[in-house]
Amino acid sequence: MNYGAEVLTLFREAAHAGRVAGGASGGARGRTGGVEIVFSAAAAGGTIESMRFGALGCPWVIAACEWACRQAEGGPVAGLASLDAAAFAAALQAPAEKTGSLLVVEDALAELARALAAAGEQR
Amino acid sequence: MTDEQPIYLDYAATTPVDDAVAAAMAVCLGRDGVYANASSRMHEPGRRAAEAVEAARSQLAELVGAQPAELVFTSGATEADNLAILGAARYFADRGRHLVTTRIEHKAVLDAAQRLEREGFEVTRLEPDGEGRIDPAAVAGALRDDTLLASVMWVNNETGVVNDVEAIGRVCRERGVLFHVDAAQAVGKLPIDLASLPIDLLALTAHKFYGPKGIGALYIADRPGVQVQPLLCGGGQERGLRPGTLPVHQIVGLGAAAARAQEELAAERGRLAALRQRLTAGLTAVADVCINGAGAERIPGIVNVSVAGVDGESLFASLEPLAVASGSACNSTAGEPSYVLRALGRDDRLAGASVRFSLGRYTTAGEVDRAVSIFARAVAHLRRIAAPLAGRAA
Repeated sequence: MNYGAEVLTLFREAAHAGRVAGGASGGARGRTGGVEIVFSAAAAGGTIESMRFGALGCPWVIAACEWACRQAEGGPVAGLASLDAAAFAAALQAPAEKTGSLLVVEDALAELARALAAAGEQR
Repeated sequence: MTDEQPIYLDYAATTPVDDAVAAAMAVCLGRDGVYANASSRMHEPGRRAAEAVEAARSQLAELVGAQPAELVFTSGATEADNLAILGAARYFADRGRHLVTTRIEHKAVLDAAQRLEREGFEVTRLEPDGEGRIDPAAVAGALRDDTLLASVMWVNNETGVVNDVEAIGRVCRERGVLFHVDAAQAVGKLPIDLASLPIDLLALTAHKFYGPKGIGALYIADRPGVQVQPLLCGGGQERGLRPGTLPVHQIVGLGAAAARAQEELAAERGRLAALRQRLTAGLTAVADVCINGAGAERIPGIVNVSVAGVDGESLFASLEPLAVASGSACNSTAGEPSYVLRALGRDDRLAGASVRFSLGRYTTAGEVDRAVSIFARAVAHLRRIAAPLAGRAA
């Protein structure tokens, strides 16, 4: 598999891998069990202050999770909705066969958004 | 991807051509070389080419303990496997239509067997034990009165596990069944004396032991009842069993590689065994790494590990600059977890997260140490990323 420079950088750094202690969390897994993701975040006043992820998946999945955390931190909770598979594919120049895996990332973010809403943060 | 020089640990996929082999081949190329058609024995250049071919055949025969006349040159082990299996089954089709093979054979054997099924033959595929070995008793139990041929690989290309082909061959011979062995990973790595083994057909290829790609051979034992039908029609070369103008430079390369392997076999086995021990110790120091086939006899050059708790594709992306294989290189483009490791009982995720390290003539202790370090770092990186998943409901 040929990975672009952006994917490799995000995959290798994965600086946001981890867990936000005491934060809200949401996760998803692929139907075949090949991909598992969990995001956790702390938000205040509708703004995501910190966000982390855990993932078992290919480099595209890990890169997408890292990219999503970088995009989300400091932004509105409502902004999570714009971080979808199409956005990941465009940012990472992902091949079509990775769409299924990127949809799992999207699902995990949606679960995180629901958890934040349940915790009283705006969606 | 990375500025570091690749560390080549994929010798089971293919080997570089030895310098002496390349020099011997070069003598056959160019206008001053041994370029003539080896079938043109009416003139001096043709006779020289024929002599070069026969000298190479003798070198190969010496390596495997066969008579030169028992060796038929092919384009490689895949063709030799096909010639053995398809050729023997079709030749003896009126005697029976049942074959026995295993689930862990190379695709060259599995696909040939499948072809025969489409031609009306029946195929029994045996499972390996948990270490990847084929039990001779299981072969014996699968043989029937109408069984024509059994085909079992000598050394598995993914795990390096060595099968007891002598015991399996004995079982076949007692029952009057032809025995074919895919020895692509065995020749040049194990001492082989076909004169003393109950093997009827054996496939080999040069590029696994520092010879060129595109040349191999099929051993056809010179004993009554061992015959194959050719797959090709043509000029009658190789006793009509493999027609086509002989590639003299390739054959000379095969012969030279065989001679060099013969010289170095004992010493190289010892050296590789020491390197494998060093590699194994380093890899298994990482938690939840298991060696596939650890409880079986294995050739010293191959170590296959499965790594728990990581994704296979991410593992390989993290291993650069190591040139290693995910199971069989011949099959790795398919993107499927190894069927060999699944047959050993590994689940899809573990089979997918398996790495074959294969060492060879130019592998150094420093490269092994570097490989261990890169592997350990890669696994740690991926487990750090996966750690927040721990404790979540499946």
